[in-house]
Amino acid sequence: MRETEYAFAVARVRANEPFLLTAEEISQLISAPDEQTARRLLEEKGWADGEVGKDIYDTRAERAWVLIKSSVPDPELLEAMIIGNDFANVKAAIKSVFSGIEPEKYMVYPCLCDTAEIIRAVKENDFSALPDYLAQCADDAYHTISSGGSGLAAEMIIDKASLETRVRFAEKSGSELLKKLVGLSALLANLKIAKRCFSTGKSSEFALESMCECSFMSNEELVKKVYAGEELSEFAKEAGFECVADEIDGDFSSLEMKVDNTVAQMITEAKYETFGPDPIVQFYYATLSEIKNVRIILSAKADGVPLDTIKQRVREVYV
Amino acid sequence: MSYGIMLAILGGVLAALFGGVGSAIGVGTVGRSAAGVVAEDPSKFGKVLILQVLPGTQGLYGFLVAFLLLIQIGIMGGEPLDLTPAQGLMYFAACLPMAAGGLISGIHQGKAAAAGVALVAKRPEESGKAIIFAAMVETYAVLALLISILAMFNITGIITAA
Repeated sequence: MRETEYAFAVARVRANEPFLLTAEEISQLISAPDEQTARRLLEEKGWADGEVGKDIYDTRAERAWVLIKSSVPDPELLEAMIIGNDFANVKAAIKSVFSGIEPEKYMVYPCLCDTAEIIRAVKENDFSALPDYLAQCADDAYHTISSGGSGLAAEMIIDKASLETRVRFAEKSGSELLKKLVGLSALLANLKIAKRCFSTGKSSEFALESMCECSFMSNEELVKKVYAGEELSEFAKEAGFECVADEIDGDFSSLEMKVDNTVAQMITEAKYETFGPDPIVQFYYATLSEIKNVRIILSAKADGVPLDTIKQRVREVYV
Repeated sequence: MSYGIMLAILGGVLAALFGGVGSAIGVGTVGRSAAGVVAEDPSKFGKVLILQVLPGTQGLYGFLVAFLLLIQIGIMGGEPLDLTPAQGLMYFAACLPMAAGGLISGIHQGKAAAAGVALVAKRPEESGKAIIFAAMVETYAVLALLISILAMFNITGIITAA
């Protein structure tokens, strides 16, 4: 697709960028004396209450997706950005149904597959009406739990399918930025699985089976290095993720923070692009980053967390 | 009709054609961006319209070169000159700067103006700068126009003197 085909969509998202929270506004939120004041500040910036069954975070993300969907020449190409929510909904629906609670309030938006359809499929144990990318893993996860398997095993099945689908969808998107962002998520997830399996005494075969398969990195090599206690910085560089090479051998929360900040940096770099899908991807991820920050701040305010700790947790801000 | 006059006319056609194509692509590109901004904020219509107009000049320049050429070779007056193939080729070559310059500068001015539209969308107070960035590309279309016109008039002088 020609890059200039995205000119309309890029202009629309640029016109909406001034409504994202700036670093200064995030600082004001952090400095707010309590949660209520922080919420009031958000309302002044246009953070309206969510629709029924959806919280303000979902509403905010859904608005961004609706804007993108109605502007880009082919929304299907950018579905990798939200397809993970479908898998999260399947996971929530299965867990809720087996726990005997109503799943509606655990659904996340925006998503591609109708949440009512997912809930119906899980309740009736009939996944045939779900899209192909969702049906198989939903069926496997459901039967893992119903046949006495652990919830964790079902979760792993869904997480793996989710990442593999996101990687596959990102490959066809034509957006280098989206490919890199999803690739970073896959690297982080696979590393987490390998380290967790190693520390809990699980076999390397089990770890490999749980990991997301990607064309840009060798899971075998990753597992081999983790189980042998070798450094992973070279592996990260070879997989094309030099940006996290220095942190990959450190503690996991530092690595997660670095990944978040790297994502923010990639997003910031893409804001100088005028054409193509990258500015659209950038806008959506900037919205998600904003939501993540607001969620951190409001939760921290509600729990009375000190200012310095909140500042430490808040991610770099785009705009 | 001689091959010479045919070559000269072909030159004029290329100047008008490629100048027009460059402008059409450029104006179309900016139009998409401008529509995106106006969809969100109709009050910015005036500012983005100026940017959309900018890449339209290449088409006018191409038209001007073709029109002047038709006058120079007598087509407009109904009495075409009897040009040799070499003379016709000279007119043809005189039109090429406008043809190539119009096409390339039109497309790139469109892209620069579309980027300017994005700038206006985010910072409306910077619209003057956005216009300057896009207008810089115009320089090369103007240079192409000047060289085509100067060459054409001087070729006519040479032919008349001979």
